[in-house]
Amino acid sequence: MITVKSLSKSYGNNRVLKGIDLTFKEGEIAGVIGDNGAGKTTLFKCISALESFDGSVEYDKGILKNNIGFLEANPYFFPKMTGLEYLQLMCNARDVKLDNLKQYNLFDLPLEKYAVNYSTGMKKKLALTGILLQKNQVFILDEPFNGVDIHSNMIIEEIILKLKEAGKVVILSSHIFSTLRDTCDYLLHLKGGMIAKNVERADFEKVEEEMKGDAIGDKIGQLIMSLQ
Amino acid sequence: MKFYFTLQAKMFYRTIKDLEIHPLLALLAVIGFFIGGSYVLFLKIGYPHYWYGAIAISLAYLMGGKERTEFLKNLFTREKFRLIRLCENLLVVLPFILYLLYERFLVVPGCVLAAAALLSFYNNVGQSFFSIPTPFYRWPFEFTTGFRRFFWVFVLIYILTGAAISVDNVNLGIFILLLCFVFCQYFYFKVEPHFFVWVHAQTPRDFVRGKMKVAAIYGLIMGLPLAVLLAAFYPESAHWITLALLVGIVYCLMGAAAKYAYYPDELPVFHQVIVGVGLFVPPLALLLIPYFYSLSVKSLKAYLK
Repeated sequence: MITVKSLSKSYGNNRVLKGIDLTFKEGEIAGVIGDNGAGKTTLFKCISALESFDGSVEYDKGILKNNIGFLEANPYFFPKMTGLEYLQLMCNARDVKLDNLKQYNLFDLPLEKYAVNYSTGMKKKLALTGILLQKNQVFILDEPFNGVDIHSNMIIEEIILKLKEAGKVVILSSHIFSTLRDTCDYLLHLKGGMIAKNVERADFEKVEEEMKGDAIGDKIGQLIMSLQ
Repeated sequence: MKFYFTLQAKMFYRTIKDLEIHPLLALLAVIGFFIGGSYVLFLKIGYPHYWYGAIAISLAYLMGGKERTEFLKNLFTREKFRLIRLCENLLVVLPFILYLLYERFLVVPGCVLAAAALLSFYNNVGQSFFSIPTPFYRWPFEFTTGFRRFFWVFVLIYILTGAAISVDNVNLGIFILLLCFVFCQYFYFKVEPHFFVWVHAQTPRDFVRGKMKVAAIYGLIMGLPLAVLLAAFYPESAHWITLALLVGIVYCLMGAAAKYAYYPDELPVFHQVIVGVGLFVPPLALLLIPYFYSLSVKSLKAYLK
């Protein structure tokens, strides 16, 4: 279990996260939703100890940082490094010894090619494969469905559900509501640097409607009218 | 277009400023280094105008990086893009052409000018159609990516070693062997985004030691064939060749130890100069290893537990 207490983060005078308290349990999938710039990625980075912060993040099964698989929204790849070498690097980083990494090529990626030349979706799939091979206990997936084709989207959804079955902690964010509806056990609505709502499955549709209303309102109608 | 070039000048100015060097001083140093280097090249090397021309053309070629030029293509109209690429290439070769004219060569500068103009139409540099195989698969990434970036340098190093043997100059061979290690330690010059440090489940000490171990082993893989080749032709100099091999490994260890000394920042200029001095004075390099090691361990404490 991960316990987040009074987590705050500021960039200069800009207070992005304001004293967040959360608990993430094994075998549960938590979805984090919020507008662009709401602080979802910052929250993920703080939990992963990729960013410094005020407050505390506790994990009851050892050093959290060494058990997290963090899928970045835009994973970075070294120039002139093949997909296979990337997977090897990820395994080495966690001292995971696997023979013939090619057999774990879940998405049929061209592993002998330089990863930096992959498409956006392929990069995401490679990065996801990397963190899966690391045998992590906690998975933080920042926009895992972005730029990924429909078939792979289905595979990723299936992976997330299997991780839940295996008793892993899964935290993810997405702007595609249907994927959240299909995978998450509950949603955390991040707004103004705080958790505005903790939404159970039964209320997902209501939240979706609310968010649509908040985000769009009558703006589109007004825009179309003004263009005529 | 004027804005584009002004922006380039501004970016260059900012880079120099970030290095904490006075821009005027940097400009004078660059000009001085260029003229000094050109003078030495023409003084010491046979057929210098050909080498000089080749360097100029290589630089013009490198301007056609795919990523960069695609950005320009998106930004400007087709005509303006062509003009910018032409101007860039001509600006890059201009100092070389002027020096060649100063040395009273006429044909080579003409060829350089024509090649630079033609190369402005080629914008696919860095586009890899196949992956260069390396023996460094097991422990990525510095040597795997570094070797691929500079593989042509290593081809040149092997050719030059052959040339040193053919002209019966063991000292030149040993110098090239050391040069090979200097390039290897350069692989550790640039620091990676901190995700790739964070991802390691190691203590800072284990992490830096691991990097040093890989640097030493892979450095040895790069240098050993050259050393064996030289030792086979010059068995009487085997002790000097062995010493050069050991010094080379010290270079690699120093490079790996220094890499994270100021992480997430790169080594400041002052320390880069110290590393440079260490390359010329190997006993100093040996002393610098524990110094940089302790700095790196300290810097990494924020990222590794």
